Amino acid sequence: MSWLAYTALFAMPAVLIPVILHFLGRPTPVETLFPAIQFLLRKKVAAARIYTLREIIILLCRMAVIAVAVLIIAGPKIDVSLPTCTEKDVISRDVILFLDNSPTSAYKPPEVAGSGITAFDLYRDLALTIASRVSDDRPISLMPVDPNKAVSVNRSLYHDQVRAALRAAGPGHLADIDGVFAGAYSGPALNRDALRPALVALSMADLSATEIDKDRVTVLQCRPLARMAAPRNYAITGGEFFLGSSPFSRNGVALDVMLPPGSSGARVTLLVDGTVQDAADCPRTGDGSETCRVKLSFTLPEARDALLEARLDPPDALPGDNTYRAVINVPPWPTMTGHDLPPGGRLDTALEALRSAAGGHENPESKVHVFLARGGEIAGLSGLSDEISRGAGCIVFLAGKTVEPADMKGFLPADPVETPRAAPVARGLGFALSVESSLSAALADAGITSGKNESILQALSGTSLYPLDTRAGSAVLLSVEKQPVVLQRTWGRGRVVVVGMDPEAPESPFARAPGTLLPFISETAFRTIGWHPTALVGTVGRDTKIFVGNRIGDRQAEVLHPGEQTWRPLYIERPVGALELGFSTYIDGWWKVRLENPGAGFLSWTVGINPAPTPALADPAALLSPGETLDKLSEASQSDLTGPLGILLLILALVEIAAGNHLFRRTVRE
Amino acid sequence: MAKEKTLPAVKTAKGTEDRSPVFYLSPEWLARVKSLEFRARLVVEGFLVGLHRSPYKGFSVEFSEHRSYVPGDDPRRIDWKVYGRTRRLFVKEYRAETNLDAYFLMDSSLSMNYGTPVSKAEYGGTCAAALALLLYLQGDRTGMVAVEEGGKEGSFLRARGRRQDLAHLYREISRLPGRPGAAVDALLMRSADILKKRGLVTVVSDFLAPLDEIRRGLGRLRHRGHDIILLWVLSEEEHTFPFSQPAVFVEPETGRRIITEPDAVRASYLAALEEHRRGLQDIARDMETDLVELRTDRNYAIALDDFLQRRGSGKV
Repeated sequence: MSWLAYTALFAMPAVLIPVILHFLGRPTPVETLFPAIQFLLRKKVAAARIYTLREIIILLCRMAVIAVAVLIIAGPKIDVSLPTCTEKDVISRDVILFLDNSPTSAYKPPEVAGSGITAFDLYRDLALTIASRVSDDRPISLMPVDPNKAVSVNRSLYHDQVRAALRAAGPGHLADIDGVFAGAYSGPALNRDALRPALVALSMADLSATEIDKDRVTVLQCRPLARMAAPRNYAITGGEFFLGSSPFSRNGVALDVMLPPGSSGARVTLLVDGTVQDAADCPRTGDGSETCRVKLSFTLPEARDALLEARLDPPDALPGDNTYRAVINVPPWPTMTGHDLPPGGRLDTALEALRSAAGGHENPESKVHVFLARGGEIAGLSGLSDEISRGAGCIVFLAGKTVEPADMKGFLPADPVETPRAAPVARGLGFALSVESSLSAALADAGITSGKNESILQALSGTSLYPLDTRAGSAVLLSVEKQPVVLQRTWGRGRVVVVGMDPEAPESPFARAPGTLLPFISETAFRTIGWHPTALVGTVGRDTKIFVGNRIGDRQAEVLHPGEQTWRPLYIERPVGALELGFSTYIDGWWKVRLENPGAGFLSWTVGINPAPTPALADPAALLSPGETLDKLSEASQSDLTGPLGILLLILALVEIAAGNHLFRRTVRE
Repeated sequence: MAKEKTLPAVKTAKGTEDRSPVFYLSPEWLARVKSLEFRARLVVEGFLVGLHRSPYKGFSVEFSEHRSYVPGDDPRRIDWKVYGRTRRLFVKEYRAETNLDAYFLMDSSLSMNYGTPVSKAEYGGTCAAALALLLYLQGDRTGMVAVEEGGKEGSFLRARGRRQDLAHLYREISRLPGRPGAAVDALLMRSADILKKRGLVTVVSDFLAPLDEIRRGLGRLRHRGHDIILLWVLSEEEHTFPFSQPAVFVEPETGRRIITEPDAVRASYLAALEEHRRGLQDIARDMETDLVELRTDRNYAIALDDFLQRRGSGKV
C-alpha cells in the first residue's frame, strides 16, 4: 500500500479528539432542589446502562469518522503488480557499493599478511565480483569514503565504468565514513522511488552507529567492530602541534601532523613508549610562512596503553618545548575471515557457519566474519539479533528485505551471468519518427536486416524498450552501437532514421558523461532528417527529452506522471529550431507528455522509462497503442481506495446521526 | 365592560398584549400582589367577570322568598315567570346556607416551597383563599389546619363566618411558606383527630408522600364524615421534568441527593409520576372525593374552572 500524502497520517492522533472533548466537555452537575426526587429513583440503572452503551458506540463511531477522514486525505492506494507481458520481466533494483578506502583499510590482516593483501584489496575484489555479477539492467552506485582515491559513480548502468573506478581505487587519507555511508541511502545515488536497493557495505568501521533507514536498507553488523571506533582528532598536548584525522588499528595509526608556520625544514620524529616509530621532514618553503603537514604512522603489536611522543628537530624550530606527549589506548584487533553464503542460502545457514567458524559461542569476539547473503528470501532476522546480542564477531551485510520473485535468485545471481554488451539497456536511446508504414515494412524498406544490424534488432526485440508503436504512420527505433551511427533509408511510403551510439564504448567521448549524449544525437538526427518528424523521444540516464520540430511553435506543454491522473506543467526549452520538452526522473514507468496544438487538441507522446518489457516483435498485433497502455497500466498499477473510504465515512456518519447526539450523556448514580 | 377597558395592557409570554381580565389571574401577574386577601378577591371577581357571571350569585345560594319590585332594584332579579302568571313584578330574595363548616388542610412541608413562577405553597394558598372568599360570600364558615414538623399542630383555626375570621385565615395561610412543616400524611392524621364535626375539607398539598399513608389519612377523615376535596399542586418542573444538564437533585425534606442525567431518566420519571397520579385517582375514587390537579404555572382561572367543573353544578 502506498499513500498520496503519507504526511497526513501524522494527523491520526486526532482520533482522540472526541475522547478528549468527552472528558473536557463534561458539564459539572448543578445542585438543584427538587421535591419529587422519589420518582427519580425508579429504573435508573437500566437507563444508565443504555446510555453508557450508546456513549461508547458514538465515541467509537466518531473516532472512526476522523480516522477514515485522515485516511482519505492521506490517499491510500493498493499497489498491484504490473501485468506480466513475458517471462523475462525484470525487477530493477539498485546496487550500492559502499567502499571503505579510509586509511584503516590499508591494514593487512594477519591471515593474509604474507601475501601483502590489505583489507582494501579484499574489499575491492569483493566489489569487483559483485559488480560483475550484477545484471546490466541494474544501476550500480560506487560510494568510496575517500573520493580522491576512488571515483564515485552515481547510479550507473555502465558497469564497466564502475569496474574501472574500482580498479583505479586505493586507500585514501580521508575517513568520513559516517557521512558517506549516510549518503548511500540519502544521497543522489539512491533512487527513492525504485525498489529497495541492495547496499553492500565493504568496511570494518562501525556503520551501525550511523542513521540507517531501516525501511529501505538492511545493514546488520555485529558488535565487536563497534569497538573499533576511535577518536578522530586529538592533540598530543595541545598548542599548535596537532595530530588528527587518524582512525587507527592495531597495525598502524595514521597521523596527520600539522605544524605552524616557521617549521619549514624541521624534522618530526614520532616515538611510542620511547621507541622511534616514524619520522618526516617538513618541506622547505621560501619564506617559511606555510603550515607544515606531514603524515606519520606507528604500529603496536598488542592492545594496550601507549605513550605517544612527537619531537621536533632542531628542538628550537618552534618557540617553547617542542616535545608533545599523549597516552592512547589501542584496542585489540580481531581476526577476520570471510565466508560466502551459498547461492540461494538462507540466514540460518549463515548463522550456523558463523557458529562453526567461531568455535561455538566460546570466543566469538575474536573473529570477524564477512557474510554476503546473496539470494533467496532473507529470514530469521530475529535469530541473527540473538547472535549479535551474544557478541558474535561478524559483519553481515544483507540485501534488502524485499522478497524477490522466484526467478530472481537474490540480488546476486546464483551463477555469473554474462550480459551481452549490446544487450538492451533499461534507459536506452529511443526516437520516435513519423513514418507512413508499419514498422516491419519500414525496417525492411530501410534495409535493416538481422545480419547487418544485429544489435539494432536485438534492441528492438529486447526487454528494455518501451512498447513500439507499430501502427502505420509511426515507428520506434533504437540503436546501441559502438560507433556513432547514422542510418538513413528512404522509400516510397516513409523514412527511417537510426541514430545511436553505445556510450559505454571505450572510444566513446561520452563514456564518462552519458548525459551529454542525447543533445548530440538529437542534433544529429534533426540535421539528418531535416526536421520532418513530428518529434523525437529519447532517454539517457535520468534525462528524458522530447524534441519537437519547429513547425509546432510555442505552445503549452504538460506532463503526466506514472500512476497519476493530473497533468502538470512542463518547462519548455527552446534550442535552435525546436521545442525541447524535457524532464529528469528516476521514476520508471509510463510518462505521458502532451503539447498544446491549437485546433487539434494536443499532441501527445507516451514515454516508457524502464517499463515492462515489450512483447515479442513477431506479434505486432499484440502491442497496444501507447495511450491505451498507459491507461491500462495506470489502472492496474494502483487501486485508489479513496472511494470505498468515502462510502465508509458516509456510513459511519449516518450511524453517528442515527445513534443520536448523546455524546455527553452521563450515567446516573446516587 | 368599562372595567375591562381600564385594565392596563400586559404582555404575555408570547409577546402579545392581553387585556382580558382572566389574564390577570396568571400566577406571574398575581404574584405582584402581596396581600393574600386582595389576591383572593382578584381571583374570585376576575374569574367570575371573565366568565361573565355575577360574582355573588349562583354559588350555594338558596331561594328564600319573593317581594314586590321597587324602583332601584336590579331588573335582572325580577322573576318573569311570576310576572307571566300574575302580571305583577316580583323580585327574588335569596338566603345563603350557613350550616357548612369548611376547613382547608394546608400542607406546609418544605416541598411546598418549590415551584415557579410561584411556589406550590403560594399557589395553593391563593386558591384556598379564593375558595374561602367564595364560601364566605355565601355565608359558610371557614377554618384551616396546618401541622408543624413532627406532626405537631401548627395552625388551627376553627371554622367561623365573620369577616375578621376570614382575615385571620388569610394571615395564617400567608405565614405558611418558609415555615418548617410536616408531610401531608401527618397533616391528614392530625386533622382527623382535630376535626370532629363533619364538614367540607379541602386538602391543599403536593401529595409527595407514600400513597398508603395518604390513603390511611384520608380514610380517617372520611370516616369522620367529611366531604373531601383534594387540591394536588405541582410545579411545572415536577410535571415535565424539563432539565437537560447533569444535576445534583436535592430533596428538601430529607436532604437526599441524586446525581443524574435528566435525559436518561426523564422517561422513567414521567412514568413514575403517572403511576403516582393513577394511585391518587384510585384513592380519590375509593374515598368518593374529588381530585383537582393544579399547576403553579397555570392561570388561576383555569384552576378554579377545573375545580368548579369537578364540583358539578357549580356549587362548592
